[in-house]
Formats: sequence, C-alpha cells, structure tokens
Amino acid sequence: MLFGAFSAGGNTVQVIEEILSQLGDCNPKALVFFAAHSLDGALISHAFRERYAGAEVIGCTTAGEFNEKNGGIGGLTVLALPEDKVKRCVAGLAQFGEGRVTAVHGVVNAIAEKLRIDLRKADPARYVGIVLIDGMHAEEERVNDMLGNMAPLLSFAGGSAGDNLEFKETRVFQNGAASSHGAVFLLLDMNVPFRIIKTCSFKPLGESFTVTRANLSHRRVFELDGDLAVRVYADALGKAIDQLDNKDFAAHPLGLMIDGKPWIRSLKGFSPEGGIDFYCQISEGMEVFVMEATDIIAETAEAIESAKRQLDGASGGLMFNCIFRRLDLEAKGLMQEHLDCFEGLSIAGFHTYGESWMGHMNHTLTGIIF
Amino acid sequence: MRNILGGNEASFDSVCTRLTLRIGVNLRDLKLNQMHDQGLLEPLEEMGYVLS
Repeated sequence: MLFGAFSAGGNTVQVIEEILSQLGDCNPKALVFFAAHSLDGALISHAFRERYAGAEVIGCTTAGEFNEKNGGIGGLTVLALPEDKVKRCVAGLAQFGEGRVTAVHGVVNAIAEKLRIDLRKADPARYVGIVLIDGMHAEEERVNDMLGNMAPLLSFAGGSAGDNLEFKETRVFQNGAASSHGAVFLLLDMNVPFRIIKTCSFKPLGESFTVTRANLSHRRVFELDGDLAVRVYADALGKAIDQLDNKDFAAHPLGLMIDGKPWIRSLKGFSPEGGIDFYCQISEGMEVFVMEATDIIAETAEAIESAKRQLDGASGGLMFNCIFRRLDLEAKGLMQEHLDCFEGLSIAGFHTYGESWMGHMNHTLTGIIF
Repeated sequence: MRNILGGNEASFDSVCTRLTLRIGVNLRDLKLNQMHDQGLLEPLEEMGYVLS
C-alpha cells in the first residue's frame, strides 16, 4: 500500500503537521516530496526524516504540486514508499559547487556501494532511480549523460526543480540538507514491477530541418538548413518573424523523432543574431521538426493506462510534469481532466523546469508507475 | 552489436536512445564502419562500450 498526502499550503510548520497527520504511521522506506519554493524544504525533509527514522527523504521545489485529486501552487505533496513496494534504497545529494563531475560520480558511486551493486550490471527490471536537479543552472544534460555513462541500462526518471516561474532560485533536498546548485538521486531496489512513462502531445508539423550551427552550452541554435534559425522557424509556421510570440513558442516547440516518438525541445526566445534559445540542448547535425499539438488528455490517459495494463494493475507513482504543460492545461481549462488521468493511483507530482529520463527534455510528462 | 550493448532489445533501445539524444544519430540506422566514419565510437566509449 502506498501513502500519499497533499497540503494546499500555509506556513511550513502548519504544512508539515497537516502532511504528517495524513501519512500517520506508514513506516516508509523512502519518502519523496515536492514543495512550493515559498516553503522551507530543508525543514520539511528534516521533519520527515525525524518522524520516519531510517527512511530516505528526497524532494525539491516546484512550479506547482499535485496528487491524483488536488493540484495547486504554494503547497506540498508527498508519496511514502513502504517495504511492500521498496526492498531497500539509498539517496544522495550532489553539490555542484564542488565540481559537477566529481560530485555526481562520488554520490552515485556511493549509492551503488551502499546497495552493494555494480551499476552497469544491476537488473533494470529491479532497480529504478529518481533524479531531481536544480532548474536554474542548465546542468541537466550533463547529469543525465553521466547517469547514462555510469548506469546505461538503468532508468533514472525525474525533473528539474522550479520556483513557480520566478526563475530566481530552485532547490533540491535530501534528509534535511539542501542545494540550490545540485541534484539528488534516489536508487530504489523495488519489490514490485514498475514502468517508466514519457508522454508529450506533439507531432511533426512538416518536414525536418538539420541543425547546421549551434552552441551547446548556451542551448542556442543559430542555423537550420544553413539559414537563420528564426527565419526557418517563422517560415515553417507561415508567419513573419515579427509576428512570432510566446504562444507560438508554446504551441510549436522543436522535437527530435527517435523511433517514431517525439523528444521535445522548448523555445525560450530569440538571440540578437537570429538564433533561437532553448530550454534544452540541440546539437549540430541533429534532425529536428517544428511540432504541433495533439490531444494532451487522451494521450496522457493512454500513457497511464498502458503502464497499468503492462503491470496488470498499479497502485501509484511519481510524476514530473513540465511547466509548459501546466500552462497549456490551465489555458485550456483542462487541469481537472489531467488529474483524472491518475484516478485509482496514489500520485505525487510536480510541475517542473525540465524532465529527465535517458536525457533532458521539455514539454513532457515523465514518471514512474508501480 | 546488440550483444555488446547490453545483450537484449531493451538494453539496445536504451543505449540507442541515450546516444541519439546526445548527438542526434540513431545507431539502429548504422553499421559498425559507418559508426566509425561518423565518429560515434568515442561517445559509445564514454558510455563504457568499446566496439573497435
């Protein structure tokens, strides 16, 4: 049995008390929480760790929180994973100020040592990871690449912490510790089968373009098919450059198609020299499409139902939903329908500044269902 | 190549997807000599797979 809890908000102490009274004596192996950036996440994780001694507690700040029934901004959502779901688990916090590579290697290797497993040989049907990365330092690609290098067959799903669109500071937490420039990792040795979900509701609008000049570290694309990226993008939408606005960015991100599935890169804005800035890296030589939206509710429901069918039933999960999807759902008045997709499951989720699984992506819902 | 990249379809999928997200080339479409010509052995070695 899973134990979920949700608070719509208040001061940190009130919210902790409300959540603890909902969770009761649940004796979790791991506890994952998503908290508004206005709350004291370090205090929250410390309180949970104190209440549930021995549980690994991780969490992060958000651009909105939800469970299967409620969603909001300014609150706290929690999922407690007891022993019937998780045999054992270990978490770690990497502070990137010490050097990202050293920090990630050190923490992930320490997790493997504590679990006494070889990350490259561990059974991907038994072990699954959660990764929460601060959302303000553009470290997500390298963190995901490092996880892929260290454990190429294991899934680490997760998201980038948010601060409800203030873009000032995001934080991740583990067992009372906090970082505004780092990542937390939780590796779970599961007692039950699980599935990763990844759903984004887009399809290619037309023909593909090849990225012919880009700056990876700035997440900037200067040229597509040898022409100015902004001009190619505007032409694809049948608009003049000065007619483009944020609604076009949200409705028409770029996407890579891998084995028929889209991996979305969202537009951030234009650079003065006619390039496009993204929330995700795009390499030179990549073939990308301008995308158009499909049915977000139907496809989210199908992704959840498909995972449940494959598992022959499921009890809950952790969800990492892009802030662009939140804004899209709010604009269309579909937030309740989106929550309804999780009916019958105990869910904790948050609206992210980016989603992780295999790599970093945008405008997507990733999650773990078990 | 499937045997080297984890031994089954799921692990092959995993490595192919990770690499495609990094450099935009899908291993499924390539033979070993093409991978060598396109400089893909180095990213694979970063992931711990030595194919040469």
